[in-house]
Amino acid sequence: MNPAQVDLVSSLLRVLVYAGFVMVAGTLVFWSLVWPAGQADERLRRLLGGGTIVLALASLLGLLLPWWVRGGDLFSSLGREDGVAVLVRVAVLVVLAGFLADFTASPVVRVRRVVALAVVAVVAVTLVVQSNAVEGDWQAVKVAATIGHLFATAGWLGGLVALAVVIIPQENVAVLDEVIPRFSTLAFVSVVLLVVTGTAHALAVSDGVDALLSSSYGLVFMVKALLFAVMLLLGNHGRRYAGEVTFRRLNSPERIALSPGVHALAVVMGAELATAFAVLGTTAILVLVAPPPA
Amino acid sequence: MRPAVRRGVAVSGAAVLLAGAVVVAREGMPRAEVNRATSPARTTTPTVGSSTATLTTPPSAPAEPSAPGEDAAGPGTTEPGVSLRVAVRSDGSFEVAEQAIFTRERTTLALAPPDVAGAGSGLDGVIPAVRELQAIADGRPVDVPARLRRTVVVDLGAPTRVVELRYVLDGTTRRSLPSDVGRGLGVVAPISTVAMDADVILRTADPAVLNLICPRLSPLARVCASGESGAFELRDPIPSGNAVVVLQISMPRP
Repeated sequence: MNPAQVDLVSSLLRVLVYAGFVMVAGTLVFWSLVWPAGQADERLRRLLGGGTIVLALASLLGLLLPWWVRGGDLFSSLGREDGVAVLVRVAVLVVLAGFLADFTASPVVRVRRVVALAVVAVVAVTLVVQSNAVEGDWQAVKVAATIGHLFATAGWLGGLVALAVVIIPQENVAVLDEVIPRFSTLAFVSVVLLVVTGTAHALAVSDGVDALLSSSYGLVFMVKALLFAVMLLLGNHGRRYAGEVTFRRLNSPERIALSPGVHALAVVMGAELATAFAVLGTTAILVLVAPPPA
Repeated sequence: MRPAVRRGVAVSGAAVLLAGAVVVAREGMPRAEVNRATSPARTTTPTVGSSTATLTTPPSAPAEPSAPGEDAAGPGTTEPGVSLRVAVRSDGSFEVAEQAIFTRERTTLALAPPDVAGAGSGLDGVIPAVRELQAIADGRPVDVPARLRRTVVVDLGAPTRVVELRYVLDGTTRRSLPSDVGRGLGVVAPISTVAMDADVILRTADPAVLNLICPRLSPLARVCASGESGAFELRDPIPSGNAVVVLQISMPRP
């Protein structure tokens, strides 16, 4: 396998890790903060289960790829930090998979909510340990920014996946009208967090504005920011829908089931989701072109 | 699967994985060392911080870069591109033989102190100094400044296909602390590619060079050495824009 092929496989595995994280952490955050009763939805459970498998397999393959490419002794090829992070992550995912039926037996409130957010936190920390946040200067800033970025990603993209893939296709308008306003608030907070932490992390990694603007890392970062802006524009449609729901509730509760904009919302959220995965792709490329730590 | 069995399997699996994590924490190499370690030559090549025979091995005399014509096929030797041959001097500077083969004949060549930005490993602050510069264009001696302090455009005198440069690269080495005596890191980059896109290859026959790292490449490609101590070269040619090579060295005893 030549270096270009290795980079390609490595990037694909990284995208799968991000996608798996969004499916797992996103669903858990969605249940915890937006729709606790959503644990009863079989499709959301499958989404979580599928995400668990994707995240675990992609993490393990990503860990073993350098050893497979370079050969030699396994332990000498495993970065200590990467190895521990991946094995802890997969251990948590195995426990989650084994106890998923018990966990989803009743709504995600109280202890279940704490457990769900703890799982997200542990998985996020293992991803941070594998990232360039723990190398070079400004480590405290980069670690805090990356953890915040991961939680915000889980909150926003996880909710989008749950809504666009599971809830909207079922056309359960009552649930949708209950969930959308709560998700809208979570999405707003997540977006603010993403902008702040993403910018702080990029500046810390590239060591200043000038270095950021004059590097290939900066170029990919700009592409990601552009895609993010497109997502914001699309997300604005969902925000308007949330506003309409609130207006209808206040003014004519009996008409709540009509929800005329649900099909347009489905289309827009589908586009938003596709853009989100393009953002994940650019994130994988950002890791590839990140400047080495000083 | 029955719930109790499923839970048991999950807990057992997690326990095995966590035990594996403990083993990796004890036996695995720190990420920084993995990134610096060679791949095929790992078993014969010392790494930073490892306990090696560096102190007991008689220090080698600085190896002279061999004549560029003796190089293996590749950029700067048999095809367009730049070939660098490097040896470590006892003061930690590098003796460099750089040969550029152009895709088409040219009458001028821009030379500049090597751009080593992004070298990392504590080498970002180094200020490269090129001295004792000599140049030959298609076999003809060319007038060049002895010290290269800024970008200069050299008149090659006639349409030229091959330029050979010899110089001492100073100021780009840092001793590794704590580490074995004489162990250090140095960075090398071509001086002839400031205004030219070309593939660059680096070779060294100096046993004082223990490893090569290409910090501007992607993380998995940064371990870019091929061969073994005394016969290292870059595994693949790298574009001039990324042609910064960090050499892990054991400085010869004066």
